[in-house]
Amino acid sequence: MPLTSFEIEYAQKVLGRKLTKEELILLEAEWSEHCSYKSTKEHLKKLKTIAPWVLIGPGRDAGAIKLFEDVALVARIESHNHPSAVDPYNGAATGVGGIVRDVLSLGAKPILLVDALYMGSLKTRHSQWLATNIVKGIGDYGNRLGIPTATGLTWFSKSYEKQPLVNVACIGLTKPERILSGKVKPGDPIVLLGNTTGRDGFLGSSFASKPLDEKDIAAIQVGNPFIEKLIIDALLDAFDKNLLSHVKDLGGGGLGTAIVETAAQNKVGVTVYLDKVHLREPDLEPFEILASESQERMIVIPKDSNRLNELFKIFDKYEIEYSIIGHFSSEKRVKMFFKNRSVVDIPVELAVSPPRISRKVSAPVSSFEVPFPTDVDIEKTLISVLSSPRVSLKKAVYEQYDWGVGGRTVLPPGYGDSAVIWLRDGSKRGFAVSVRGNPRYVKLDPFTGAALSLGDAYRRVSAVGAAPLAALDNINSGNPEKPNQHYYTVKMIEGLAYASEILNLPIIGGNVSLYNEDEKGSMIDPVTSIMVIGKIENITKALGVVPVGDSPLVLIGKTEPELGGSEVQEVILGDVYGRPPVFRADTEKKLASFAKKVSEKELAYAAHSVSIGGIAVTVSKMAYWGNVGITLNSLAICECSPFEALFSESQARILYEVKPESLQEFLSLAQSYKLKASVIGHTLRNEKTIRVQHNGKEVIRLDLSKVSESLEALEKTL
Amino acid sequence: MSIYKILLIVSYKASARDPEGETIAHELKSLGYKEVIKVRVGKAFFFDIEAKDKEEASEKIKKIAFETKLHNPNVHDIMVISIV
Repeated sequence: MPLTSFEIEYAQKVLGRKLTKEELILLEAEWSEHCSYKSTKEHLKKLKTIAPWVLIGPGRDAGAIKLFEDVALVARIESHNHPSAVDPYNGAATGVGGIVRDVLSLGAKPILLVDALYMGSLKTRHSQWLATNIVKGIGDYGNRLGIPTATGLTWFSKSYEKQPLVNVACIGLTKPERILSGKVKPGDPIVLLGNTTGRDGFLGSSFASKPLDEKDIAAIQVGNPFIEKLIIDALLDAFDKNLLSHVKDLGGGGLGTAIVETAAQNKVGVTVYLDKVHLREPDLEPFEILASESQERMIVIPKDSNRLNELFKIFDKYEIEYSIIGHFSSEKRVKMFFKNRSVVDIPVELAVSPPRISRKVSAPVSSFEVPFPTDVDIEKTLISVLSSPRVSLKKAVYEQYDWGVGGRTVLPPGYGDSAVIWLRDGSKRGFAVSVRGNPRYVKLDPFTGAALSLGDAYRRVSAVGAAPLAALDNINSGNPEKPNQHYYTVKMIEGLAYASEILNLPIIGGNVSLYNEDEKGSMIDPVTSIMVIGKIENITKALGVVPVGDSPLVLIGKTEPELGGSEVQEVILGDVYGRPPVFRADTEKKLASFAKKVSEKELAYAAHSVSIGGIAVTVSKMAYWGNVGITLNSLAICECSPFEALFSESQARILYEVKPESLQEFLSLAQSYKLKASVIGHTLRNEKTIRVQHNGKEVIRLDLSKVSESLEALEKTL
Repeated sequence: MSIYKILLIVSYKASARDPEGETIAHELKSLGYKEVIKVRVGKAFFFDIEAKDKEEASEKIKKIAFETKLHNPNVHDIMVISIV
């Protein structure tokens, strides 16, 4: 997005002269929303980012925590929304490429990919084309790198018909003492590594910071996972030999941004010779070289410039191109030359300090309640809910991903509430990851909506028996210049700040994607994707979602008749109204500690967090996964109508299939945590139906074959 | 109406990268075919289609390709060639 005349005047006043073309391009990239977070910075400060186990908080290319005393976990999440709308295959694929390089930047080995996709109705050819190609793009790139995609979130709504949201995350592992310091000092040479620089993908980051329009079409890059794989292997080799002090991805804003950010973080200056950059087209102009966003490129700074030859030997071995393009300096200026001509000469401080802007917010009119029709057939409703693309099984998505490569995946997609990944270091230790987001709750109340997503992911990580340690957020929202859209951005951040504080869950990184508007300038449904990571001491005790049968089903947590923003509301009424469920932080916390104990003591066969679609969906999926029948007593769930009991989306609930011999111990444990525990039904090995009773009357009797058919509906459309 | 044979070629736009083509060009050079300057890779579709004449046949293919997204106009160029 071009600089405003105010911003240009500001820069020229500071410099006391006109900007060169190259300086203008550099500032345009550096001062874009994508790089500077100028509309959200003041709000993001409210997030809880510190905890004793946090090694690196927000600010670097990725965040890091001490997972165990000797294990550091590095993670990052980022959106690739705008590119994926224009070219779903390459847009999504290069999103994966970028996030993997971010994790490499801290010196970690990337071992897991996670995605959160918000796509269209699948009822139009366009939305089908977008969805198919986004999934294929992520799958192809990830699979070719040999990194598994073992968990994710897939949402469908007509709001994303033409503007999908593609959030991808990567997790890597290293040793705490081996995380790259990121420190550079004057005199250190700058090595540019990887792909040649070309005209493709020119100024992508300012492209990400404005609404899409026809002219953007040239700004698409084609990813090359094979070069990326070579970069990964070469850098892991260089990390092993302790050759590097700093590595940075060339992402949004290209070379200029990566260099300026490194200089600013280290409070040094930088001198770059743009004609030293290895190019794809020999006639590239200097402004193109400094802002090109050609993929698969990184800058690497050697720890010891006397060992450069060792470094280059590694790059030569992997046949990766590189060039020494300049060095850091003590004079705190960004200086760039092209064929002996100075093209950029500005203070580092100016480059990273756009003039302050204040964005206004205005609250929308709150949504009113709309009653359900009185003649709803509960069994038919269940079938409609189970076949809704948001609820039905996502096999069509995750089966295109290689979720098992690397041999670490203990609970793959469809087997647990979160992915459980083994460290594979000779111990039984591992970690659990879940990503959640709910555009419906955000639409009704962005503050609560964002908090609920954090609660949901936190609970899913707990349900498998892990202890939640950190979260990453990806905010997808509208145009910050429009107060009624910016309201959602600010409220979502505030909701996250509240929830992360109260759950004691530091946020170690994130990404904000703004300007997600349709061609008419209307905001598409904003949402925050939250990824929560937890540690697990013994992966063999991780609790999955598959029941064994002939055992009691115990619901932990309280069910209220909360149907605002629910799946059943959208299925029956076509939209959402009222208030989303209440965020019950206190119960969530108790539930997390309780769940960890249940897994440690091995009291249950299966655990499934109650999510969209309520208990009705939770039990249907468990019945499907375990191929078992289920009987339920609706009044044991809630003293309310069976409709409310089954479809309420009250939060802070986990449904357990408890080992019959451990039932008493399980119930006393729940009591000791002051958690409500209700035996709501049983699993049945020899009966293949789901039956729900209310006051002695059978309100649902559904064959498992019908349940399967409904839950597999998505496979026929995608 | 007669039946016409149309060849549709879909490839990345000249301004976009083509990793597959670049890799092949690189390999050919290393195999000794130094005269190879550049390789671009694409996808070919051979159609038999009913139309009034060659021109209409080509137009129909362009329309079908656009509507069914055999190519993404944002990243691909197409060539429509009438063959005998």
